[in-house]
Amino acid sequence: MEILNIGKVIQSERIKKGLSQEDVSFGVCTTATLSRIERGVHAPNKDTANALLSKINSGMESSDNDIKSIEHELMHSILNNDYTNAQGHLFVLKEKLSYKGVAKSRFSDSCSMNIDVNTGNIVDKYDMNILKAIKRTIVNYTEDMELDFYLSKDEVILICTLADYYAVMHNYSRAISILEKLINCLKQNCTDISDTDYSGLLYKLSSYYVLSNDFEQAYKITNDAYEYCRMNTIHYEMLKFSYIKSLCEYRLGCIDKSKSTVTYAHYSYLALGQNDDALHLTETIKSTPKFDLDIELMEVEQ
Amino acid sequence: MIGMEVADYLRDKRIERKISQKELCSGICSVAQLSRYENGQRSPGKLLFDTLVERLGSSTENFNIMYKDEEVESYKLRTFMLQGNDKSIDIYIDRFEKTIDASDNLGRQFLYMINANYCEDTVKRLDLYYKAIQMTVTDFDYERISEYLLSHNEICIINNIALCYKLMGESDRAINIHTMLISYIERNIYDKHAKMKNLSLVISDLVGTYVAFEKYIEAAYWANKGIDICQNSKDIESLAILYYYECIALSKLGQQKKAVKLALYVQGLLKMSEHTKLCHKLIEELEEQVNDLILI
Repeated sequence: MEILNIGKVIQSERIKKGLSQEDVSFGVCTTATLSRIERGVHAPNKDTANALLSKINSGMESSDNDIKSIEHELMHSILNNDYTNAQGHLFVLKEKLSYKGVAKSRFSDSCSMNIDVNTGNIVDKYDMNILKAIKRTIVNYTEDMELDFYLSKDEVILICTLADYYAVMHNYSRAISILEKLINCLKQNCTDISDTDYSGLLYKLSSYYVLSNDFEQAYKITNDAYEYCRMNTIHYEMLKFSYIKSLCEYRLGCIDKSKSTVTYAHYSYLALGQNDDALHLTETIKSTPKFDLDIELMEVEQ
Repeated sequence: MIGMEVADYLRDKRIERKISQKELCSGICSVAQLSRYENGQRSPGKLLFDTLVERLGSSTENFNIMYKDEEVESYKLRTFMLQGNDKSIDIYIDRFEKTIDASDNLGRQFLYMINANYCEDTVKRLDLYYKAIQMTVTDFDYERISEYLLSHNEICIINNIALCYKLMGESDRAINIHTMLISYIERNIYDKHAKMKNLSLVISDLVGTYVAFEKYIEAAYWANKGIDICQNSKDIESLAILYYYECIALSKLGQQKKAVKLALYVQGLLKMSEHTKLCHKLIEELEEQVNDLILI
């Protein structure tokens, strides 16, 4: 991010969260300095800029590591389609918040919306509710808007929720377009999204492509994801892509490749002691229409 | 100036773990400096902060502290050098040398370590690792590992010292150092992720040492321990290496069937995660080792 722009970023973020200059500058710099930074007259050093941004993003609760780590887990479960765990984490998060005297935070709100969408717990026209929630912070948000600014965690979850909603409604092209814009934005702007969360979004995108029968694009996304995981040394995250990768390879005519992808994934699950996942993988393949892989795998010891 | 949380964190954790300022900063900064960091008057650079947090046995991941401007260049070079590109390493080392001054113990330690990593002569290499560790642990003696506070980098260096002894045929000494490191990590590192990261590193080298000296029962025992840890931390690469050693150990112990299964695991993990080079190397060696046994 350029020095000149950072003041603007700080200002717009601060205003979005409804915080005063006093709130944000407290303990970091004087109010006058912050005001100069926002006007672009003074260039803050990285520590100052970082401290200011982190105060803004955490809504003044940055010192609470406990809440932070639960939020982290919750985000991870949601972006990796693990809604049972997400519900548990959300429950704990709400408990912690109420212990601090707050009923809910914007983040917990966004997550609970996402869980509702993905567990089918929604009413008609739920997209209106999601859009309304997004517009609370991104005032002029529309689906077609090019996102090119810093997104906070709750905004990421909300936009992802909108995509998930369309996917649930079988409107995959809309889901894909929203998700692609989101991913593009995260790629280019600084963010609090962790590497595994980002790969979770790529997984979602590739699965939506599969659902819309565009195997070529889905395959391209999985390859990008592999590259990303390798760069960030999160090799374990590659494993979740194996099913989609293998399915794409099969549909694109590379039967041998598809076979070895499944075989390696199967042995990886066994090596990791995740026997259930190994079984689940083979069963999913068997139950997928037009995916008749003829392979012999080592039996799973229960 | 930095957010108060960092300052508070350093002081609170240090007091909670009953560590004195002098112990914590020994070899990496002065007590006066540490005091200023704990008061929030000054902010440590990321590298120094990470080292302090690691010595406290915590994880640095909870903090998104950015590199200071003057640190960025040296950070980039560090990453390049650790990724290990043999051809251009000299250029990087040269450039890195220019970023550090005489009082920068951490920088000089890193420089010794990189030079050691690329040194082919084992005796010289061992000497370089000793110089590296003595930058920050001035009175280093491996018998006294349990008395120090160690960062991740320091643990790596000591682990490499053990590997040098292994190459020099001094098995007892190598195994002794590895085991002492393991008990240090288990006792002094509180953060779960940091603990697993360090343990998987040291345990896989310990298992390798046992295999090299044909102590297969011990190798299999420790391999199992390490595998448990890597399964939890989802560390694919270390997991594959541990299965590789266990495979050799089991085949030497006559458990052929199980060994064959483990070889499949090694291949599966490395192919799945596209560690093509490593996979090729390990599988080739496994084929050799397992065949040997069949011939016998």
